[in-house]
Amino acid sequence: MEEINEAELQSESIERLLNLVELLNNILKDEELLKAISNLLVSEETFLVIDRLPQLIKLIEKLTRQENLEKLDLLLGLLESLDKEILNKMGDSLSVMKKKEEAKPMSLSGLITSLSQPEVSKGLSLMLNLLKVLGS
Amino acid sequence: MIEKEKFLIVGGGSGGAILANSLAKEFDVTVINDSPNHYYWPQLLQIAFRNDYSNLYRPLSSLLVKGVNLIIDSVKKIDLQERSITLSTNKKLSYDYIAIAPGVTIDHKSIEGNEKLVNQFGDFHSTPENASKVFNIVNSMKKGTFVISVGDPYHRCPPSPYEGILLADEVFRLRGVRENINMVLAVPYPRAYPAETFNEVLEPILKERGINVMTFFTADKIDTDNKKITSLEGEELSYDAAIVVPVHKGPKIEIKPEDSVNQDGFINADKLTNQILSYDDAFAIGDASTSTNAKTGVTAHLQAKVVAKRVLGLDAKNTGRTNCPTEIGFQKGTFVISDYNHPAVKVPANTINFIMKRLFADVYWDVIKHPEFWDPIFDVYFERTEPEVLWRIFK
Amino acid sequence: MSEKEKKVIDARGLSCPGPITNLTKAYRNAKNGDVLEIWATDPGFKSDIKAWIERTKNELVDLKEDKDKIIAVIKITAKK
Repeated sequence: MEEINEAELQSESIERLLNLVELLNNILKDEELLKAISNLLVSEETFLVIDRLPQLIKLIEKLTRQENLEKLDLLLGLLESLDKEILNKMGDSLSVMKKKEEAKPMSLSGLITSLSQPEVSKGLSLMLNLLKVLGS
Repeated sequence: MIEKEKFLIVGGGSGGAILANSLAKEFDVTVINDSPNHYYWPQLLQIAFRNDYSNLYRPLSSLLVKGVNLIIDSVKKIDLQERSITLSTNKKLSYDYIAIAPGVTIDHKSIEGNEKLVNQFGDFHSTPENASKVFNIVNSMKKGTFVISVGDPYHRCPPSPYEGILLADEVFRLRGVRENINMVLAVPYPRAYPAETFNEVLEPILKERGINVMTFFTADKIDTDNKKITSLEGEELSYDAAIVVPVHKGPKIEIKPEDSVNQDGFINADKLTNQILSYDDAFAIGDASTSTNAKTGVTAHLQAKVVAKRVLGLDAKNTGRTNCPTEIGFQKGTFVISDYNHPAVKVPANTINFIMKRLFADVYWDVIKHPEFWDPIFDVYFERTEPEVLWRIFK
Repeated sequence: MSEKEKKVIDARGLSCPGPITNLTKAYRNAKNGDVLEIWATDPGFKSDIKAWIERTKNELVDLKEDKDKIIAVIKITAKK
């Protein structure tokens, strides 16, 4: 009786294995699928990535060291807390800095007037807080 | 040994076969199918636009697990009160449980002139022969107006008309004749795609590919001599080649009591449990059932799993989940994913989704045969891609 | 009009454009003079039904909001 059961189990396993081979065969015969996969994988960017694979592996190794992982987590937290709009504005003002002709020298009276603007005083207080933290 | 209860399953398509294989151990299961083969209907699209017949059918007997009985015959009558069915040979079978899953009947006659039109240009919702006619026309047409017109909003596979027109566009482009062909998609809806949210994904694609969309146009009469389609809404559309998505009706089975079937022959079943009226031993699943919000294999599959759990004493319910892979040509695809509580997610079209679509098709036969292997994988897939989750990603 | 000629299409719980597709399905079987009453819960239904009337030139007898549904009463006049 036990022997029959075992024979039956084996024949079931072989049948499952054959089903899986058929499944694999189905996938390998699918021209459209293989075309799509190669289109996705064979691109200029992929070649560049492959070319830089040793550097990438080194980078990943460094990034995934325990102490760096913790720092990365903190950085990501910081990134998430940042407001998109503020980042946009900062980007805009930085690009103004590049065009030197647009940044005019400022007189002392001009500076004082600027300080009374609510945006400037808000930003100043933020910067001062930041400086305090860095110094402590 | 206690004798197992008799479970009859009418129809061995996606829903019927998966249900049979899921209950083979617990019940004395018999599947009745009118053909020895199980057809994978999405392949009609592949025949129509790629001449690819590979996944069209497999012998049903090879898809059912050991212990499931198979009868190849058509069912004439089902009596839910009497708990019996009558086969075309007049043989009567009784049951303890029944699941009715015979799919739809394609009715070309409901649209005047459609039989003639199908003879000329074919379609991709009825038979492989008709699908091959579509392949011939899209591969020989050189100029003129090419129309795909939806004659029935409740056709199989909601995205199929869009896939059809976009794949035809791909063929015309690859053949270098696209600029001489005016392409028109005519639909009964207020916008290109019925679901407003998914329309936001699809409409720009249709526009980019230069396909003209006619809204509120439900094909009603076709004048093949003058090459004109008239809509129910009262407008006319001229064509040089046209495919009309035919009217779908319920199965040609006499089902008693009469109020278990609606006027188009679909079986009235509860959308959450698939139960027919108050008969707690009778279920209707898949395309033939009114409980189905999208006529697709995935829906039939999920409903089969719900029915299997219910008859084993669990309180499972349908979520109305759809998961319709939609290809748009040039190896790109998207998915129409929604459920009863969430409108279709705006899943963008890309190559990965196309690869997913092909993989779903290639593993199809194994999914039917081995629910024990695939159920855990699909459970994870369906959970991770719940509309609620996806809506947070694709806003 | 007698209640016999009136056909109610219950499309409650169907989101867009469920109600319109149900109407299309009923429209195929309808004759001039028939009155169709559609029940819907989808908020987009109101604008969709107005657009449908405009395109098909049938008559919108009534469009109102009940406490749990939107009701549209349509008289079929433009069927050829």
